[in-house]
Amino acid sequence: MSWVSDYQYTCLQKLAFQTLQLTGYVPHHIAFVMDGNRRFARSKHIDKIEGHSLGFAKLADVLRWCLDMGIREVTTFAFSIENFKRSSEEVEGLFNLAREKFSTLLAETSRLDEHGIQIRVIGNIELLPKDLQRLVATAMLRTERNDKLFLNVAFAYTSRDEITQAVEAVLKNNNDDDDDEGQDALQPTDINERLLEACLYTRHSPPPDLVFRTSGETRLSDFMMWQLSTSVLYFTDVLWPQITIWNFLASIVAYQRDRCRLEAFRRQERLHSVHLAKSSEFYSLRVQKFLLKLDANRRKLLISLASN
Amino acid sequence: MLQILCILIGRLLLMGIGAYELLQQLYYRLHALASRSYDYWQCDDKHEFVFIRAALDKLQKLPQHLVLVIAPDDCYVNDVLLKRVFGYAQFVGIPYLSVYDKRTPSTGYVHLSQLCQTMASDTNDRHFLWPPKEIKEQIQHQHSNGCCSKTAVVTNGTVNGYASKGPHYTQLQVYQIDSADGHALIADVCRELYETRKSAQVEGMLKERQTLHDGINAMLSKRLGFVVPEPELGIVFARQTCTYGLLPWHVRFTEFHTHRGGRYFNAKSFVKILYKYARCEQRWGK
Repeated sequence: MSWVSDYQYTCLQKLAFQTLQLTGYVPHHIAFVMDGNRRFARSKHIDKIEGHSLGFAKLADVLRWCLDMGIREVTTFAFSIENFKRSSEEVEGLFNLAREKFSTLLAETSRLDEHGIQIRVIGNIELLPKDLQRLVATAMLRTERNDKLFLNVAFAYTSRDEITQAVEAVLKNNNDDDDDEGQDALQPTDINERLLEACLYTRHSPPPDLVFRTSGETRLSDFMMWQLSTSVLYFTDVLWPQITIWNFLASIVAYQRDRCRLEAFRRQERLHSVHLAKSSEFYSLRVQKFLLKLDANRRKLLISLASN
Repeated sequence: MLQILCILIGRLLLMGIGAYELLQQLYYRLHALASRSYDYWQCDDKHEFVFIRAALDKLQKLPQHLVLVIAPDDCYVNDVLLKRVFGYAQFVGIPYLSVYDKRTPSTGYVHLSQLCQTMASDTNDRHFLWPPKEIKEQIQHQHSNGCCSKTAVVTNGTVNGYASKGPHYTQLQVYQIDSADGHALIADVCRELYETRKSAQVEGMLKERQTLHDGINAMLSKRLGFVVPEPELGIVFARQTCTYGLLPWHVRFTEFHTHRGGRYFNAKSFVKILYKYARCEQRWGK
């Protein structure tokens, strides 16, 4: 598969993998901020787009490592809404790279089905060019029934935009109904952080256990700000195209070490979320109908984009 | 057989890491004891401000808003440390500082009303000034007699985010951030908008996402009760880096630096963090 490389492990690497898998907890969900492609390109005196291309090749390796480690869900921050501020040449180059990779992906859906990999693109995909929207929507629809492994690609994404669309979804929920006072209308008391969380793009994903950012920056750049309140943040100085399997394994060790310390806080947050859901009738028919309608509308949008 | 070997290696690795961390923690505590003893022997903190003064000249930029994040399991951050940090921030000219303390009163939570002067205009008891008036007069007296005697008292903080050349005696604005200011506040704003969804204002906001985004931003600022720049620098007092639910809307570009629990926090630590912040390049997506 082009998105998952056929990485050849050495004996030592295989031993290290097995050791970490057997001794400690393996994160269920890792989020990657793939930073440093352009700086890498500058250091090697190559074109920026070539740097991004090498970055994608590294992503393929990382996905292989995650697959073999037993990590079920991976989210990558591929393109931010803020990145539209870059030069049109670079933006078009990135879109061309995306077109190439998604087209290759669509040619390999049988292999994706074989491994049970579901592709989700999170973000405001309506900001993308129409042909890219079609490719993205098609990839999502073709793999929507897979449920073993999940690859979320944040494309045209910022956390603020995601939160804004969640609020928008709640505010617009009665647009199709004639009677606002009907039984299906959301009540103001239904609206809390539990409901908003269920309206985010990542509504079917658990929060990331580990956030891995390369290139030495120690900020989150508007990536999954709502979801990572209980995540271990791991920052490394190495540039994305330069990361090695040992950098990856070091992050897993850091997660295994830090996880125990965060466990009490995480448990408290989970209990708070459960309590909130129970007290606010999150599981009531009207709220669940609203969420089902949200899923249905999102699917309808994907179908309309795929048939553009 | 291989599995047993892997488990053994893994356990040894974890034991090794645990032992290393224990020794490291022991070293930090001994170092903290020695440093605290040295500072106590110094009798006052003049030497720290001399050090900061010298470092200020080399800093290209300073944050306008600093946020301190204290982990729920931290037991080292107390009122003494907070006062020290407030003093450093006020001295270098950072105008705004927020404290996000995830502890409970029984595990070390510090209410800023014990340390700072409450703002007269603040009705919800979360907006403070540092130093309180009596300490401010004391500090001004000390500085005019002791170190930094050549520098004048200025009434402004940093100018356009760049380090100014002298110490500042303007009171630092300090905010106490609650857990309810994070996800719950955004939900409250959503609920408020939902209750008035038929109004022309909300319908106008729903026409374009950017308008709704700006509306949410304005409402959050109003609800928080303080209109300040977004935090540019965050210091996490914990043994691991985590946001602990800090202001998900506001900290999107905040540079986080972790000050490991147990390590002594002094002027050198503070300046080191400022140096790291000054060196980082904010590209804003470009």
